[in-house]
Amino acid sequence: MSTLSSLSTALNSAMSALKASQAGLSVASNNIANVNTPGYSRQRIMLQEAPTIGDTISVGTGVHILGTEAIRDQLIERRIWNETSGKSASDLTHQSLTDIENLFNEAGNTGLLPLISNFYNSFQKLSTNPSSPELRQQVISSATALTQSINSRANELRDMRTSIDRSIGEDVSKANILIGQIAEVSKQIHEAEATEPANDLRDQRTSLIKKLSEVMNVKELDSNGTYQLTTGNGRPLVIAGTAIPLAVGTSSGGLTTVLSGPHDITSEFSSGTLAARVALRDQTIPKYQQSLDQLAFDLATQVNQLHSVSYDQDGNTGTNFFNPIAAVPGAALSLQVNSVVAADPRKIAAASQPGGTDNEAAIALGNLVNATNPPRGTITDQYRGLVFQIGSETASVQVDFNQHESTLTQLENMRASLSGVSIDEETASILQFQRAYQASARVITTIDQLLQVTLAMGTAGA
Amino acid sequence: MRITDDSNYRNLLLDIQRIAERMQNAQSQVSSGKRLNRPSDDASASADVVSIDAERATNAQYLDNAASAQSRLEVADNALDGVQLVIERIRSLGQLAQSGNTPSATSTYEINQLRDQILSAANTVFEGQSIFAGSKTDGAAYVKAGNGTVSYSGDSMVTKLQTGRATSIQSQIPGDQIFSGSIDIFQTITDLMNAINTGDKAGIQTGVTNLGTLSQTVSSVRTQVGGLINSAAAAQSDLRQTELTQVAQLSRLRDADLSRALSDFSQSQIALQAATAVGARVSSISLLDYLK
Repeated sequence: MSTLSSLSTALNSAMSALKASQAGLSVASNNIANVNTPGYSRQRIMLQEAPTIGDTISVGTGVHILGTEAIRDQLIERRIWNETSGKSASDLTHQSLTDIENLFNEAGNTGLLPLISNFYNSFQKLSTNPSSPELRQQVISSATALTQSINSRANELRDMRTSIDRSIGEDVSKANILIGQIAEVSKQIHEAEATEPANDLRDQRTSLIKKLSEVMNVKELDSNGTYQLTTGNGRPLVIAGTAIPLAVGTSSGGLTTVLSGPHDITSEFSSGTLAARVALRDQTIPKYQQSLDQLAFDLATQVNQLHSVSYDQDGNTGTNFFNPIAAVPGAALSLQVNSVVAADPRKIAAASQPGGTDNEAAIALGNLVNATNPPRGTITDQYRGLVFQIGSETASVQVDFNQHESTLTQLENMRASLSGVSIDEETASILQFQRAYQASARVITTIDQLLQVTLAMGTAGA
Repeated sequence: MRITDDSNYRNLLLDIQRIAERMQNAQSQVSSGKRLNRPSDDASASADVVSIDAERATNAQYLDNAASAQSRLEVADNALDGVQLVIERIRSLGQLAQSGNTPSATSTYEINQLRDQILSAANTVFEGQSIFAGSKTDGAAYVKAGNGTVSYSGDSMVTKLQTGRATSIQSQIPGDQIFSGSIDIFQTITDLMNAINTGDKAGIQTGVTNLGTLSQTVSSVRTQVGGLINSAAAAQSDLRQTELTQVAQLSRLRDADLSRALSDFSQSQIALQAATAVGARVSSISLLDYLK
């Protein structure tokens, strides 16, 4: 091997080292730049020694830059998506339950219970003086306060349910936008990775799926070059770069449904805001509506049964105190004092005898506060049950939310531990490449001097 | 484990959030004085509060009823006390007339006055209600006609008030059990006055005897009323006792343990200070500080 060719080999390998150091510096710089970018996976430069040449002594020819690799564990990412779905579902459920809880909060001064007690007590008061117009009016006032309060709670539950139903459609639109973006990015990844790993695009897709996970739980299948994203139940969302958007329909009951092609998948979601909204709309809120309806129905029925066989101040009988309610569903919305009675308090049937002067019916009506209605117990027992149910359900969702939050933080920490950028580490790496760059530059200077010596030798010999 | 800047901040944030939540909880307990601010704070305690609150409201009404019954009965007792004295006076006037010691006109004039006194006692009104008229409390119990005859316009219904879940107390005694039962007091007195006027000794004797029976009736009704007053008073003291128990139960269920809430608060405050201080330290340490 000639001196010149071996010097130029050395020059080349020093040049490759300079390039490698520069590349290393720019990777470190990119990592630092993205230290706060959500979903960013730190990258590492991949270097390989260049092949050796020479016949007598083999010498390496420098360093090859193979490219960059992103440090990520897809398994952790998938667990993060899963936990994100769980957290967003319990967060939303907790918010809604807190709203419902406010309707049945007896801690303040606006509870329903004092109104129930006042209503029954107003009959007991009337029993002390059944002919008093003031006490009769008081019965009407306390009954009206009670019915209005039950009506407004029933109204709020109904409005909550309607607004949640509307949000289901909004969730689907939000999901469809994300599905479209994921499909687009998947297509780009497929094209780009024909040549080299598309780290940034993969990071981008991971972030998009995490956003989608807030809406619904998803599954990813990335094998044999075909990328698939499906719902938790396997309904396709993205197949090989093509988006398969969900659609919104209307059920026979006028409620929003979620469609995947021809299939109604409304109740298939197990977590994410979509699942939470469907559960609130179809189970949770109807359950509290049913409890309140039952309470209103029993209240009106018990009072009417007694009132309609008792006698009013003019000795007439057969009047209902509340407008009769035919069925339990919707009872809380329609509960109302009979307008005939409300307009004329003399029509309150306080007497058990046709004379209309005694107080026995008033006592009996007041005593309904203790009347049990098997298996539901008294009206107060029913209300107690409602308060217990909303209280314990809200508390358990709060626990659920805290658990998801902790697990998610743990997973994010695991992810950060693997894929996150550490400024200290990058600083060290900059130092490392800086020194390598300085050393390579030194090598080039040295070779330059040697080449000059060699060239001067040639001139002297000629 | 590889520690990154990101996870430092995330942990710090979560810790601070949790501590702030605890602080807020303690703070709302201190400011409201209540441990239960929403049903989810303690669902079963909240449910118990509903039941006890309802019982307490009903109990308060029973207490009102028992007090009202007692007042009515006391008014009745007062009226009957007067009636008894008047009956005795009429009886002695009758006895005097029988012995012929007083001019008949003087006796009958006074007896007539006394009869009106009994009438007014029989029409005693409490809070706008005739307490001796049975259930027909909005009108007078006894009505005096133009010719002086007095008739009962009430009924025989015995009025009760509810003073417990399964107990009630009679609050009124209808006039036909006192003034116009088997013997009508007003007719008896009218007959007596007629007998005195006509000097009918046998008639006077019948009147005096009947008045004796009436006096006994009033006396036994007063004994009954006294018994009822006692039970109304006893019911009230029972109900007050129940109320005290209920108030204590409610307080135990929903009032905040202030010293605990305050110590929770200061504990979380210290934790928060520590967490933020450590957080600030951690993020200020960097390799960059040592490379010059």
